[in-house]
Amino acid sequence: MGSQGKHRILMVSDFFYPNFGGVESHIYYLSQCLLELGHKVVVMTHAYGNRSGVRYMTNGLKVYYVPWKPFVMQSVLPTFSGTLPIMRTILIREKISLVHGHQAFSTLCHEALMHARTMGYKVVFTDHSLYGFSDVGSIHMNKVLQFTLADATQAICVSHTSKENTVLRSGIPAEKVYVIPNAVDTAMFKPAPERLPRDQIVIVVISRLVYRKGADLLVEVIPEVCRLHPNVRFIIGGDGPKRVRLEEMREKHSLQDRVEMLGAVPHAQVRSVLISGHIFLNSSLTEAFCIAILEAASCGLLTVSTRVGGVPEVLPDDMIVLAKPDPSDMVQAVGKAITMLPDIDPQVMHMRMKKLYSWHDVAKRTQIVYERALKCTDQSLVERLSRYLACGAWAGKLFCLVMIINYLFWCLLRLWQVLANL
Amino acid sequence: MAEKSIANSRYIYIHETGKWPSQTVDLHHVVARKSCLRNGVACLSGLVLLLSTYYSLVGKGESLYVPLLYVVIGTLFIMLSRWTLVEKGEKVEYAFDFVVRGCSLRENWLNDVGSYLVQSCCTSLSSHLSSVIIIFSPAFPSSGRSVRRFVPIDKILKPLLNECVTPVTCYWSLALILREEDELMLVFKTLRVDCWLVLLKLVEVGMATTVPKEVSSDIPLLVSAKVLPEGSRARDWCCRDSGEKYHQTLGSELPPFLYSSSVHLQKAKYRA
Repeated sequence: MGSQGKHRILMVSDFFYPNFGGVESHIYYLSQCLLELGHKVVVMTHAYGNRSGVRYMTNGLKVYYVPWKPFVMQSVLPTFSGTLPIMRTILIREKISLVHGHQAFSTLCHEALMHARTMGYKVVFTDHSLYGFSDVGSIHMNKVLQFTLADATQAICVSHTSKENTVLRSGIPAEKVYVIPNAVDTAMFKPAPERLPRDQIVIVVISRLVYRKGADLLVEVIPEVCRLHPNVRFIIGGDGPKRVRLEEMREKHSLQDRVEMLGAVPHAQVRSVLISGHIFLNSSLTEAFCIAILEAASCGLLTVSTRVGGVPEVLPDDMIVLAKPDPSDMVQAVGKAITMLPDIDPQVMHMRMKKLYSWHDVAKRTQIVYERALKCTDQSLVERLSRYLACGAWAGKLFCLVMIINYLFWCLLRLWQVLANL
Repeated sequence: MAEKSIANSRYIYIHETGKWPSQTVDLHHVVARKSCLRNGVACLSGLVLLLSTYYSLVGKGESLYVPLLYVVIGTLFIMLSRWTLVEKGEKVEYAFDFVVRGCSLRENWLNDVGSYLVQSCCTSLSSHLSSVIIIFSPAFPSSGRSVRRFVPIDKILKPLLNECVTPVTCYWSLALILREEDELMLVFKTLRVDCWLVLLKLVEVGMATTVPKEVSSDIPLLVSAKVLPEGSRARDWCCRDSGEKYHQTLGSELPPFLYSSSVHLQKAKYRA
């Protein structure tokens, strides 16, 4: 730990700039605010194309783009102990005091937390997503999460729903999990200087066009809303495998002049798309938090969203209309939102969002979690192995074996460096 | 030629000043010491493995694969433990020569390894030194052949500290940006304490006006490295004024990212 309570934190995740998303934004903004608080923050992620090596971002945020290629879904190939040498090198040369991993889908995060615990560092894990329990993928992912969190010092979730989900999936004690919501950069997401005329209502949709984000729901909802409200038009930003379905819907119902599809929208242009609309429509089937509706509310849009996951915790009732993930319910919700529009003042909404959500507040709360993590007592290998044994009859033994091999490999690396320095 | 030297467990620093052959030169040498312990460990390991191989061959009922495995593992181990930055010669020498324009370098005086940095005129030198050339002399470890490249100091735009990341490690390397050339000139692939002195010389002559904060915070010796007067302790040789913290840092080992492993230097044409 540095002087006067300042820490040296290593953020690890497969998801970072130049990708744009909720996790990436979270890591970036949190890191920037922690730097402003006087801590040192280093980010470790995998290489993105030619972006490999060390890069420095705003305010000297150092990013290690380790040349491990992504394997599937932007995550690197799981190698168990393969990342130990580079991880150890970074931890030593940057004099890290605490490791903070992000996202359960990130292989690099899981391996980094495992190596950090092997080397005796305190670790904090932030879960950004909700996950199921019944399908094969969920079962395996939950087991991996159980392995990582069995020995994690503290954990952070972005909503109370997410905390409940994480505790149930991983078996981590609830008292070790903190809820720190995401925030929004209100300086970037400001409403338009002048209010839009309401002779034509514009509904904006910006999301990845995938199943999980409810693109299939949009296919059902949009034609019905257009039928019921002749003065409504849609602007859809984003790309994905479900884009074809939306374009087919547009062709089928002859909505070319009322449904505009922008394709992938760069993050820097999201605000300009949002301020061209009155209502923001979110049709996600699962969301731990949903930063997108925060950005829309910060731009002064009234939000219509599915009542899933942590979405009900995000905005006050007068800023959001919730509906079940069902086409007819969503059409009714859009109708209700249209009637609420005259009472909405974008500037007032923006000022409220400024007070409700702030990355500086997130950083201060995260700092408290770090301090509590660092106060936890150190544990020997035997004590830590007993936690892994509790993970299951067979899984527990397998986890113990993995940790023992990892520990031996770490000892070998230390011995190797001693020999190399002779 | 007047000579001063300071030694610690890993390096010997030799400073020579005087006239050679007719011009004034100021030579700084950093010599890495050979490690007897490492060689001893390698030999002992080899001996143990040879004996294991012998007994497994002599023993009845043993398959041939076991002794073969011993031989392979033993050979690999010995090769890895003996692997140093140069195979030929016992010492690695880096010299900083201060010469006058038009005078050729004392090639026969310098050993066959490493790169050499020649400092340009700086205010600390006396007036009879009118100009300087920068010389790089990459060497091929396996052949022992020396290749030297002369680069006029005017051609150097800026020295550059590169932080390189591989899938298993990170290291610093020193390169130069040259005028009218697209590629960087690699000076040292893996930096060691002597190479920091090289960089410091560049800083002193004003070529490197800033040192990255990351580097200066991690390597305090760079900021305050000075040539110490005769009689100074070896561990103080780079950090006379830097305080106890830095003395402890340099006490028994270098900062962790200063590797003493191989330096693969660039091929370069010999240019007079």
